[in-house]
Parts: sequence; C-alpha cells; structure tokens
Amino acid sequence: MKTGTYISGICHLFLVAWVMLSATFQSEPTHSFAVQEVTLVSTTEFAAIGVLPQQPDVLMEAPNSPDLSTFDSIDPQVMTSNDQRLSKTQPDVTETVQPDNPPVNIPLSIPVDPIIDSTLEITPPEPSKLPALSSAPQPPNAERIAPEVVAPPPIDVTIGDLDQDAIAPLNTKAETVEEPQEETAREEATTEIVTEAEESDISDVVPVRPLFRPRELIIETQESDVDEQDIIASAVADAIADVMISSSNSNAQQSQPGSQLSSHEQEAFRLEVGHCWNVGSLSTEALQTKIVVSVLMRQDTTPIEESIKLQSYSGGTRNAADKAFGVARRAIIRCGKKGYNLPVEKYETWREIEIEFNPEQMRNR
Amino acid sequence: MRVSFFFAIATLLPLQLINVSAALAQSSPLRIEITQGVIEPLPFAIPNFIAENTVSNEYPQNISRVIANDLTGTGLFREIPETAFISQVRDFSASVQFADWKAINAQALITGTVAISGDNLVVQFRLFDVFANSELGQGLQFTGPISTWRRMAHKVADSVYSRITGEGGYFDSRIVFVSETGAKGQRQKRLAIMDYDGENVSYLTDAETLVLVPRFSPDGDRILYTSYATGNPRIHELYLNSSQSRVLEQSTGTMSFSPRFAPDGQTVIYSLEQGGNTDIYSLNLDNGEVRRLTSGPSIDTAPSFSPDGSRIVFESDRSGGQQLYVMSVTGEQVQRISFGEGRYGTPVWSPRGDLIAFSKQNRGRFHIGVMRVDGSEERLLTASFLDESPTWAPNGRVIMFARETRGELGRFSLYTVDISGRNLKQVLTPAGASDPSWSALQK
Repeated sequence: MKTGTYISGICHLFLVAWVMLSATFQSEPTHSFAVQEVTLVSTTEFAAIGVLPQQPDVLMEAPNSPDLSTFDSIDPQVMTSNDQRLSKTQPDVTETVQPDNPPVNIPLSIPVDPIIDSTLEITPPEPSKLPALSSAPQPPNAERIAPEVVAPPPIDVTIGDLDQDAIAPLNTKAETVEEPQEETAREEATTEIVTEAEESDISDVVPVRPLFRPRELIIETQESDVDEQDIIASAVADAIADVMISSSNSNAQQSQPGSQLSSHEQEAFRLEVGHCWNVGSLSTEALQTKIVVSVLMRQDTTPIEESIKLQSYSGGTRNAADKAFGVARRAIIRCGKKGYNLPVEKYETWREIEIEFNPEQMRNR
Repeated sequence: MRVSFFFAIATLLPLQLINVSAALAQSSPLRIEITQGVIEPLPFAIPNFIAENTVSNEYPQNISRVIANDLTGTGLFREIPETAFISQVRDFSASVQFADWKAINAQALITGTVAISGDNLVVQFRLFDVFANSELGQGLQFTGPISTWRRMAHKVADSVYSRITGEGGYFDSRIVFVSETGAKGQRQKRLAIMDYDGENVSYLTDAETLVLVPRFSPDGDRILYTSYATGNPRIHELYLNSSQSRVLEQSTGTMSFSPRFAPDGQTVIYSLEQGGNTDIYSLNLDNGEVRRLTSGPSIDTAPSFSPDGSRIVFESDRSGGQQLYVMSVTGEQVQRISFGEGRYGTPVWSPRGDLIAFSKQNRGRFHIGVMRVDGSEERLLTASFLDESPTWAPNGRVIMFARETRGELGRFSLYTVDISGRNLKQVLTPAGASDPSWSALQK
C-alpha cells in the first residue's frame, strides 16, 4: 500500500512542480499563439509517403504550404484545435506545432515512431551508437523530479543502464533474471510497485534510469541544451520509465518481498487446501453452494483460525452455506496446522487470502 | 507553452491511473479458487457416554455403540477407535481439550451422559466441532422408557448427522417388508417390521396368506398391503397400534394391488385390474369415493405421489415398452419422462421432491436408478441379477431396495445405497426380505 502511495505522491509532486515551474518558460506576453492545423498520418501511410519521389525533407511545412495537398490525398485526419489533439493520450502520429520561433526541421530519419510507443518497446541500440560504458556500471541515484531545470546527465551514464548483465548482481535468482521482458512489463500482472525510495537494494538489481528511454530524445538533448519540449518529454519519459520499471521489477523479481505468487505457488496452495477439503459429509444442497472464505495468515504460513470468515455464498441457502463453511474452515485449519508451503518472502502477498470453494465438480464424482 | 502543459497532463494522467490501479491491486487479498477436494468419511470420536447415578454401564456403552454404528453406516463418517484417544471425557460439563482431539484428527466429538430417572432413561449429548474449538449446536436431552434406549440412541445420531451434514436424519425410522422363508417356489411370506438398521424385527401377519408390497402411511401408524386371503389380490389397510386390518377394495371380478398413500394419509391410489385391463384409481378413505385416473388398454400401475400431492408418477406400457409417466392428481396432463433403453418400473417419488427412484431391466440385468422429475439426469446406482422395489429414506438421501441372488438357493435381501451410488450395504435380516417400505421419522 505504501508503494502505491509513494508513486502517486511522486507523480503528483512532479505535476505540481511542473505547473509551478512552467511560468519560468512562459513566452513573452506580446507573442501571440498561432494555432497550426495538424495532419495525422498513420505509420503505414507515412511509410507510403516516404517512397514518393517528391517527398520533402520536412515532415510538415507552414499551414499554407501547397504540399499539404499531398497529405490530403492520402486521407489525413485534420484536427482543428489543440485540445482535440491533446485528448489523444496515445498519439499514433507525429505532430508539428507552429511555434513562435522558426520551426525546427526534424529529419525524417529520426522521429518517425510515436513517442509513447517507442518507450514501451525495449529496443537495444545499435552497437555503433552505444557510448563507451563507464568502468563502474553502478548508475547514480539521480532525482527524477528536479526542483529546477537542470541539464540532463551525461550520455554515457544515461545509456550505461542498457547493459543489464553488468548491472545485475550475481546473487539475483537466475529464474527471475531470465524472465522475458514482455512478461515482466505487464502492468496488470503486478500487485505492488517497488520504488527505489522503499527498496534501496533495487538499484543493485535494476538500472535507475529507464531501459527504454527514447534514444531520439537523448540525441536531441545533446543538440539543444535547455529546450523546453525536451525537458517535458524527458520528465514524462522519466516518470513513465519509473512506473514501468517499478512494475516490471515487481513481476520479474518474483522472489522479492511483495511480489505476486507464481502460478506454481498458487497451485501448490490450492492442492494443499484441496487435499483437506472433504466434502464427503456435505448435504446435496451444500454441494451446490459456492462459498468465499477469507483468512488471515501468520508469517509462519499458518492460518489465524479466528480470522476465518464466510464472505459470501451463492447457489444455496444460508444453512447450506454454513455447513459448507464448516467443511472449508476445517480444511484450512487442518492442512495449515503445520504451515502451508508458501514463500515467506512474499508474505505481503498472501497475508490475507480469499478462497472460493466451488464444489461443482465434486458433485458429480 | 500551453501545448506542453496539456501534453504533460495528457501523458501523466494515465500514469496516475496506473499508480492507482497498482495500489488497489496491492491492497486486495490474494484470491484462490478451489474446485477439487476429497470425498472421505468424516472422522469423529465418541467416548462412551458417562453413566450417572444408578444406571449400569451397559446402557451408556450400548447407546454409544448404536450412535457410532448409525453414523458410520451412512458411509459419511468414520469412527476413531477409543485406543487412539489421548484424553478421556470424564465430566460432561468440563471443557473439552480440543488440542487432544485435533491431534488424532477427530473433526467431530460426541460426548454424553446416561441417567435413570424413575422408570425412564435420560440421555444427554453434546457435539463439538473440534477444529472450530466450539460446540456445534446446543446440548440435547432425550427421555423415554428404558426399553426404548435404541430409539434414543438413534435420535442422538439423527441430531449429529443433521448438524454436520445439513440434511435430516433417518435413523429413528422403521422398515416394513415381506419376510420370506422356504425354498424358491414354495416361499412363505409374512409382513414384518423392524428398525431401519434391521433390529427389533416383529411380524405383522402369519405365513398362511400370501402378502405383497406393504406401504407405510405418512404418519407411520398404518400399512397398506396386498393380500391373497380371498384368493384374489386385495388391498388391505393394517393399523399398527391395534393390529386390525380391513379390505379397501373388493369389487367382484377385479384384482387390486400396488397401493400407496397420498401425502395427506387419507387418499389411497392403487391399480385395479378389470377385464384384462389395468388402470390407476384413487380411493378417499374418509368417504369411500373412488376415482378412475387412467383409462385405456395399457397396463398402468405402480403409482406414487409427489410430496406435495399434486402429481403422480406411474409405469405404463402404453407406448409399447414399460416406461415412466407423470400425471396430475386428477389424471390429466400425462407426460412420459423415461425414454431410455430397457423397461422402467416401480417409480417412487423422493420425499424431497427432486428425484424419482425406479427399477430398470436392461440387457438381462436389473438396476436401481434415479432421475429428475422431468426424466433428465438418469443415473443407475446398482446392477445385479435382480434389483427391485426401491424405497426412499425419510431424508431423501438413501434408497433401500430388494436384491435377489441367482440360482435355486437364491434369496431376497435388503440393501441400501446412497443416491450418489456409494456405500452400498446389506441390511441384515433374520430371513429373506423383499418389498421394503421406509417410514417417515418417528415422532
């Protein structure tokens, strides 16, 4: 519970800080905003454009550019306001806003992929573009929410975290280290996000910087020191990366405290309780009654008998549910009197368990 | 600038949602579903009941044994032998050492006392849920003549059974049946009555007259049966208290048989053969009114009321083969419910109303089976050379039936089986036994 609160707090703090600091970068009041029509093009369409011989080097020009008709011809979607565009939380096209200053022409070869998508993919950089790794692979604990705008860290430190082998400690369990990244990155698969603030040893296991920080942003940072958009993008990328790393840590490092029980561990517990779940003395009505029982567990993996409660039932009367509960309670206590085979290091995960006893398949045996 | 701000908002909002969902997921307990368990008898301990005042040790021990036998006989319970006990119960009011009983895996503990009060026996008992460290229900006391000590033991067993399983008991009930002696082809048949477990057998008729298919009244105070005393089969009603009987149907040139009481005890349905045609009739015992419920050239027989008295199940060969049908109490809305291979007969409606038991002959073997009242989910519980005459226990959980063994020396015996098909066991009787009818629980 604390972890989630910390994450939430950090994100809120970041948001507030950004709103407060944004005034620093306010443009001159005399400058007026120019609203630029934006053309949305899918990746596929963009690739199709790329093969056109007359394709210009810039992604988009001024609103009145005659080349806009080229985009119209490939069925673009035109937005008329900035609000509409920002409502898309997952932009699937690049966008260009007409700034006060002369626009920066972005080469076609760099920002083709959407920003968000690129952060979700772990694409190892080309070896030729990798900077030299420092001899000490331990990354610094850089603050993600800076009180004031600072220059990004040196690139060698930033990219050093891409070398997982060098950073992961030797005592990390092989099983968890070998977890596929796709599995560990699923947000819904975790029950706890471990933050660096709470778990100091996390830095020993994973890099403190995001694994999937967009390379393009890093390159841009090198080109312009205090570019406002870059700072925003960097901060957002940091926040995203922190959340993703924390969640992926919870999944990947399954032996870490608070991580989710593996399917094998759940199945083992299921078998243990099922071995003592004797429905032989239940009435036919009770055998049609599904019940949900909650139980609090001690850290020594034994159940707290007084905590076993009937949470809900369905398919039968209260009397039948009571009988079914008596059988379920006996099962939990009997098979747990010497402790269940649960991983002690994941106590927070199974400290409270809800067990649904479904006798449907037992009825026909 | 504004664009940047909105961009930050739009990007960070989903992050916040992720954080919230992560926090919620973390706070919710681990959820496990269990669908596979075991089906085993529940182990229980029953130390000999404590003898109080002047009662001899014979009664406490015997009562404890009857209770234990009742429970273990269901197949749902297993008694832990006394030699395994760690602690003894010497004081009925003392607190129970649950740890000692848990150590021997006793899941239920039954303690009790037996005392003499005048001419009566007083039996008290308590039931404990050992793993819940608590008493299951309240203590109960039964008082009755000393000669009824077995009934008091059965009542204790019924209470224990009901509290643990959630179903009504059936131990304090009786069976009326046809006792058969003699060689095959020269059998002498008498009506007999006994406790459900085969004890206390007594005979209601002598062997001079052939008697068949006795049926208990709902109150257990009367018995319907078919007698050949007049040469033709006739339905008789026997009053158990007075041993008086009367003939209910004696129309000239007819045969009446296969009687059964309605749930109200005042109506009898039976089969009447007249001119080669057999149909089902109802007889009002109060006013003698007779109503014909079926008609036609087929043989309609073996009627049985539903518990609510609104419908009747019976067997008929109107479709060519012997099948089961359900009709209203007025003989309307006839509906066939059995469609399986073979011949179905002697249907009996469960006291709970959910199932119909029947006998079935198919491919040279006889079966006892159950199906839902609409004919679905047919299950055959037994198979043998000859199984017939099913009757339901008062709680609708157990079926008793008659089984004949093959050969010249073959004889009929009574068996019980759980409706799950488990726990098939023979009920020991002094002689051969057939046509059982299970009473309701005694009052």
